[in-house]
Amino acid sequence: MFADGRELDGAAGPLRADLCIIGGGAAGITVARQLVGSGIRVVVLESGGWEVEDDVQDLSAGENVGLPYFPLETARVRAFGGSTNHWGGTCRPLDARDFEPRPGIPLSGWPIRLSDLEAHLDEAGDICGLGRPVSELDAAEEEDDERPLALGGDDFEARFNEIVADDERSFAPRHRDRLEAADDVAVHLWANVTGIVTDDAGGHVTHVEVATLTGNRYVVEARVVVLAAGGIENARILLASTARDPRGVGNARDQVGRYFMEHPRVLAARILPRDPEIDLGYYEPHDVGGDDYQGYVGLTPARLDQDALADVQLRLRLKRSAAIEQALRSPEARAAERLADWVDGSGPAPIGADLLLLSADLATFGDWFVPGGPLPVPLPDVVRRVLQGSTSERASMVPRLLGGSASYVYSKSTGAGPFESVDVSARAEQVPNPDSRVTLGSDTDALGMPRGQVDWQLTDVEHRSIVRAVDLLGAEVAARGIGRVQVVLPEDGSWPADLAGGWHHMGTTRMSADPATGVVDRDCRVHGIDNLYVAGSSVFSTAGSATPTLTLVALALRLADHLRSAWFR
Amino acid sequence: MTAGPDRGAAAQPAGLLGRRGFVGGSLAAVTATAFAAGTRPWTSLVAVGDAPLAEQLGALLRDTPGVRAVGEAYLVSHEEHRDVPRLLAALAADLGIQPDGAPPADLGARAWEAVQADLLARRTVRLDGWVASPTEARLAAMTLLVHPS
Repeated sequence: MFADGRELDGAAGPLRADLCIIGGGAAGITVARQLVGSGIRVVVLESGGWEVEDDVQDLSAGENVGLPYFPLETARVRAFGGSTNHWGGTCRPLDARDFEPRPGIPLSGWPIRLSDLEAHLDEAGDICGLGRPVSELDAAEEEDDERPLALGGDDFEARFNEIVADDERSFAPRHRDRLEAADDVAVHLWANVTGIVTDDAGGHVTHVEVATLTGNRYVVEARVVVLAAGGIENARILLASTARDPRGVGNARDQVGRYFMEHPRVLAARILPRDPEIDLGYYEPHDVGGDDYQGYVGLTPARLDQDALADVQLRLRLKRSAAIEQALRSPEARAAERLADWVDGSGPAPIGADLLLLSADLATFGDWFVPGGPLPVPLPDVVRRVLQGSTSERASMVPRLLGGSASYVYSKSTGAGPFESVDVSARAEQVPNPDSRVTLGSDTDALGMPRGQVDWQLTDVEHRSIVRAVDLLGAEVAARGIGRVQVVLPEDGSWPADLAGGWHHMGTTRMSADPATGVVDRDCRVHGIDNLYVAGSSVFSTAGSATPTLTLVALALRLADHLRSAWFR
Repeated sequence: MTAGPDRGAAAQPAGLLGRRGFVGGSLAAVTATAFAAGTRPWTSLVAVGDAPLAEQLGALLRDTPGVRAVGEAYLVSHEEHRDVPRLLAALAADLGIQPDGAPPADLGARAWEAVQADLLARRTVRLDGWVASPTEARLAAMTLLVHPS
């Protein structure tokens, strides 16, 4: 069931439950849905409602004091479904080696192994909305007509990712009905946790304090608490929970908020291929058996270990010439897009103005395209017949017309086109760094909570790893006669202006067997506190280079199993 | 080992011309095509007659603006190789030939093999951002020195 936290009666005394989950995003929803029908009374406290609201989002606002980073109020969605309401849907499990100690990677090695998660990956994929089980990823790649570039030897491998369809990505519509129908799960919307309170000894959570933007306040008492509010908010809530200890909850070893990890992304290099019609369809989102997939270039484990590198994934994307980019933004291209929608049945019938635009455009198409490009010259009679023909005639002729005239259609249908080079974007694994951290700022939000402060810091390992990856790529594509590589990432260790993250917040309550280097143990339980757990990518010991959602959902499934057996048998 | 990336220039049409020139003139790229066609590499590129070794080496790469840019970038970071005999000695070592002997008939093939060996062993230098074989870079430098514009 769902409830409005603003309307609950805080004066009626503590609200009691078996399990309190803080956060209604991917991790929190996953734990809750696993316990539906178990008889375990679950309360989910979600900061937002059904949609993004400015005053709710502002609760996430804070200061970036390290490397340039996204405004924090835009870095997470505070609404039911959390940031699944706004994600790219790319899924790939971490590799087995990501869980192992690795040369050159400080603090590498998780207390668990991939084998501890494998049993949950298919279900995690289903919860995320994948069309095909994760265990069939290799089979899907074999069925793929698109092939990766012939990079090989001992250095390179292809990395295949499945992408959740647009309309399946948000956890809100996917899982709302199940939770709404559950008698034993209550999701409180517009309910913000402002503090986790322990007993005097600090080893047991007694209750959670809740506040709403309308001024309502109440308390939830639960046997067990799961913190699942996101990589920044998890740390912020623990640090701000100072009722018993000024260091916060679970922070006796000053580990909460440290090791903030992202997936730094930069334009690292460009390839100038010898073949102007080089096929890079494997590296663009494409359909395989009705589901979307996308490939990346990765380095082999042998090479990563040999050179002590953090993992790096390279995305290859055609960079079209300025003339084509301009054409793709033109009214003519938009007209072509509308016509294409009409042809495939997804849009209304074209208007005469669109056809006239295209007609005029065809007369000057020579100005659009790079001389020598592979586009065929449209036949004048095609234009005439489209303009004068019947609806059915137009339907048969427009594809031919578009195939010869509009950059939009050309690029959409072939993934290729006249281009200048191939952009090589790198996404690196950020290594655990205690100085990259989330702390509390001096300012407070509308509920009186200290705002979060992010000090994003990278080390030379990430930079060196990207540089090495593109240097190796340069040697490989030259040796194989594919083309030549120009590295654009500065060699001096500095980061260019286009450095960005992937909206992935990891590590701030990292999993470690040793409380001196982490916050939670192998069961995601906070060290030193018997009934407080953390769910989400903040428990990642290391970041890997794969997108984190699938893994964090698998971890949440594993946590739900643990809670059943350890607390609710 | 680089003159530093020139990102601004790379976006200009002139930069594109330079890059095309480099790709078109590079040993690895051209020989890949030659092998695919079943022909012996380099014979069409090697200077004929009894030209001195330095001149023959300087003729192995197509003389394009891109190759010249790479050669100049190499010489900026290896000033000592502006001295042709010293550059010749380095190239002779790359190719396993005597710098003061007669050019071998298979000079082009040796050069191609040396470049491939560099690339496959991941021995590279970065010149103006371009990832190149050191042998290839020295050949580009020789092109520049024996055929000054």
